[in-house]
Amino acid sequence: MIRVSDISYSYMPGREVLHGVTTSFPENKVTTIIGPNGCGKSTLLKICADILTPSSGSVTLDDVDIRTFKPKELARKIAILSQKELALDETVYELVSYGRYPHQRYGAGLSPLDKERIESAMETTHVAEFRNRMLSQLSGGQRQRVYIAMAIAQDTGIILLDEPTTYMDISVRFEIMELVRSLQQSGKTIVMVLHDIDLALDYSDHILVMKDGNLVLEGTSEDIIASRKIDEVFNVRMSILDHDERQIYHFDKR
Amino acid sequence: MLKKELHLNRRLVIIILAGLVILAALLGVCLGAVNVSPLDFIDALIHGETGRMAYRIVMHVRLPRVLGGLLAGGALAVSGCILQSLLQNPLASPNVIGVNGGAGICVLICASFFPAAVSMYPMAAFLGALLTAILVYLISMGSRSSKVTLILTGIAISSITGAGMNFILTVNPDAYVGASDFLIGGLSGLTMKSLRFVWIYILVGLIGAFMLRRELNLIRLGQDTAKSLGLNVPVIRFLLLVFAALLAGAAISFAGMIGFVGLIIPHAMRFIIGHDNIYLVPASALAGSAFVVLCDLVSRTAFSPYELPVGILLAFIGGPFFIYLVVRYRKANRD
Repeated sequence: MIRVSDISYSYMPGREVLHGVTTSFPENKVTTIIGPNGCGKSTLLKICADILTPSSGSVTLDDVDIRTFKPKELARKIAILSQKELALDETVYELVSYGRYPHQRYGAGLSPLDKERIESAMETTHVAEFRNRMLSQLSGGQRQRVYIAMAIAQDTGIILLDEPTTYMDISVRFEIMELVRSLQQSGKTIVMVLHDIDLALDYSDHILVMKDGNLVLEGTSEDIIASRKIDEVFNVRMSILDHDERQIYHFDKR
Repeated sequence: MLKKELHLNRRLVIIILAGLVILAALLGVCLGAVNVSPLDFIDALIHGETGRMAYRIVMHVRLPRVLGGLLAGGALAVSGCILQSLLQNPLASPNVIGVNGGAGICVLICASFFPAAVSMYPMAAFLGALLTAILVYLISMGSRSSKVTLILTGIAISSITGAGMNFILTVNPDAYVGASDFLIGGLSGLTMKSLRFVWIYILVGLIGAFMLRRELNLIRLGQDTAKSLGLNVPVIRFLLLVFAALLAGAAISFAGMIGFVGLIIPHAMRFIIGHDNIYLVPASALAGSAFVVLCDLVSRTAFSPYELPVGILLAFIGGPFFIYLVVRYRKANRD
């Protein structure tokens, strides 16, 4: 389990973006971090993957400080998919195969196990049919599935996803969320940053709500809805409508 | 972004390129103002007739020149390949970002202060290239500058180092024998002695680049992704800069300010075999070697009895190619 203890972070002196955040991400669950722009969600995610080093506090994985792991060792435990679009000149197969790097010995090529994992990741994300296409030839949704396939090929217990649905069509958003759910059901721990509050409430087992670098609330979707904190944090008025035995979330400006 | 890249069978392409290198070397050795039959040369070599014309032309004029072309071409192409991935900038190449200029000015400084230390030229060139590469890299990272800013910085560095080289040659015209060839880039006058040490630098650089081909692929994805895949980014980045500088510096130290090989060749190879550095690095090394030897052959035979330094021909080819790339990527970014 990942535990975050009293994490603070500044991109430049005197401008702290995270103020002593403490939390943990339950194993084999989907945890989603939500909050307004600039509240420190992505920063927290990057710190959990040791991409950024906190100015104070620590992140532990199964009670071991993640900074004590060697780079490849950590990459075999935690995969992170960043918000930034990756190189578009690669073919789908090439990009997914990079996910096997932490498992490869220095100078060695792809082993039969590596190839099996790459095929399996492409099958899971339904991108196998595009294997020889360049990413520039795919739609935004297809690309996002390829990036997720790379993270799956990394074969880690924990996958961190930074805004996997941003700029996606509504149908693609659902597709990505279903994929996330299936990954969790296959035994992965998922932590993601989302902008869509409704998707977060529908697809998460555990939600963290952040504002101005602080963790203001965490709990299940029901806990978050009951607290009415969404209204205050996002400066909106959330109403819940019942439709076909489902809840539909509606947001108005306050 | 080009969408109609060929992606031919990559191993086959590398084998064909290896054949092309052998063919280019043979043509380079045999053709010129006086054509030499390979059989005539081999016969002279077997019988130890060192006075025979064929032997003298090949051993003292053509062979050093061809070997120099092979070394410089391979080194500059691989250096360009590394820099383009490292800086995530398709327009980067040792001459465009000023690395060649840094190497060149250090060679001339070394030649001015230590005229007898010819064997030190590659080391001086390497240090100049490395310092410039680190400077350009810090500018590209530190200020999160755009791809165009990086190129403009490189052009500014090239201008400064160019002015510096001209200054040195103005105040000390005898600093470097064949200075005009050096400033343009040329292989005439090369001897086996002038290649005596430099091949070691190039071999180390090529082996280093070859060993880090997989890491070069990850670096292309950006620092965060490379780190999340388990790459020790600062160490690998520094090593790649060292190898790129070693290759460009060593080539400049004996071939002068040869430009554009590091731009043209990696792009041409990407078009044919794709972007995977596992294949791109060896393909660029081979294609760069063959390209420079063939260009040198053209530049010394096409305008006979005059001989052009190969750097002029490369600039005539490379300049328009650079403009084409600028237009192509500007259009791609707009789209």
